[in-house]
Amino acid sequence: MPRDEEFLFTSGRVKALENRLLGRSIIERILEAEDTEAVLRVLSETDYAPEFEEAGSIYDFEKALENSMKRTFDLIRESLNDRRIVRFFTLKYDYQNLKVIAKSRILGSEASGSLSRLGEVPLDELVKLGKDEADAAVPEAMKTAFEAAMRIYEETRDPQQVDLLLDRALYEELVELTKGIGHQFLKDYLAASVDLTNIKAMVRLKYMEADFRTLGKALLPGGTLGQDFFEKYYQEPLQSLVEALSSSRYAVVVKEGLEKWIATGNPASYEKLSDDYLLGILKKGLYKPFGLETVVGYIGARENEIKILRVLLVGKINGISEDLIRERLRDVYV
Amino acid sequence: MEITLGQVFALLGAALAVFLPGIGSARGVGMVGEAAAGVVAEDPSKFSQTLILQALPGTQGIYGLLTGFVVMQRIGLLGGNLLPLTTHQGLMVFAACLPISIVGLLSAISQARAAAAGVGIVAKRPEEVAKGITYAAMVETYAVLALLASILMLFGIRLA
Repeated sequence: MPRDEEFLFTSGRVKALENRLLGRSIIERILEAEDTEAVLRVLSETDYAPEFEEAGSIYDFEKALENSMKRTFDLIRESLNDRRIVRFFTLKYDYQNLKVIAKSRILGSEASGSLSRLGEVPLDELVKLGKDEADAAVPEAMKTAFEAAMRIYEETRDPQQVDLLLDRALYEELVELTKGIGHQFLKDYLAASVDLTNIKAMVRLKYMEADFRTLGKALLPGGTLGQDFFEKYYQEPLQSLVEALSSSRYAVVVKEGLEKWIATGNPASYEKLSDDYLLGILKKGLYKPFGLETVVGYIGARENEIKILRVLLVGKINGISEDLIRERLRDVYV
Repeated sequence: MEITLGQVFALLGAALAVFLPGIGSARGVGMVGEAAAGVVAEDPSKFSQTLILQALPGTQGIYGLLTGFVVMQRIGLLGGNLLPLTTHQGLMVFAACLPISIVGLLSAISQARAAAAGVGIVAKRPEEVAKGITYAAMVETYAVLALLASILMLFGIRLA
């Protein structure tokens, strides 16, 4: 387990950077902005100013947000010896790219435009992998997962199977990664995120009336709730799942979120509550003077902030009402 | 002049009093320095405030050195004529050195943790730096008490 002292420099940096995270008042001001012009004016006072200036137009906000996140990853990477901590966060972008590559291969189209630059595997190499070139410099685990995904597509002709398999491969790698880092905080965070995703997957499949085998394939590894737990409650009404989890640590999320989902058929509230729950775990980093928690908390907070901004900007650009946007907004870190 | 076992013990005590708190202070000052460098990397204007916090865990090393000097002076090492200490006398000097040696080592590191947390205060609310300094300075009490105990013992032991 890495000692807190190893994070002294990075934590000091993070403490200074936490000042620049967007607080509630900034979010409110963006929310109340009259038009996209006004949104840009608010953003120009924040840490996002250079990225939005570079992007030129607010319609290029995806690029601006990506650049901003990339800056954070680069900054933490350069100040931390252990690159695995940042890898814990960037791995999902690589797998997301892998999905895009797999899909474009299935459709026979070009993928490079929609690839994320937040991953750590060079995009050229991923494209090479998509074209089945043998010398593509992609990590072995990702290569194996990609080949397995292509095989399963050949067998089933179902693109969803590709997504499921790659999601599973991502979480298997994340579990290995956290084991390697050996810090309980990261393990707990991963386990909670897996559990909440698995609950969501199970409820969704139940609504789709999918068969038992699909459930087994959709469940991600690394959670505290095992496969048998989900298999047991898959056969019972949803209400019994709510009761089973009402004394667990996910009680807050399940009680309000799942109940609402069952009542209205809309998972938005559950999704918001589970994101807030995960942010709550990360907030430990805010109150710890130095250590892995501080650094991981900050990276998570930045990702959360980007998510909030995306909801805000999409809403503002499309002229969606303030209240409707507010409903979808996540909690903030600071 | 023949060297006695007592002299060896006394000198060992002096050495201990210098190097253990010295290690603690070096580690402590280093720890706070790392955290401070992180803050200053983002905001160079915080240099002077973090410097005060960094200096705090350094005192234990000074206390240790002071104790070492007192031992050297008491056993006559500084004047050039070392007293012919008995084994018991030597062990007493050695025992007197223990409080500052051990408390100095451990309190410096504890103080560094508090001071590194204080660096976080400077990063967020530079106007509240005094509170961060106070928190870290509270740890100083116990180093001072240990120093007091060691010095009182050293002056109380009859060596002549």
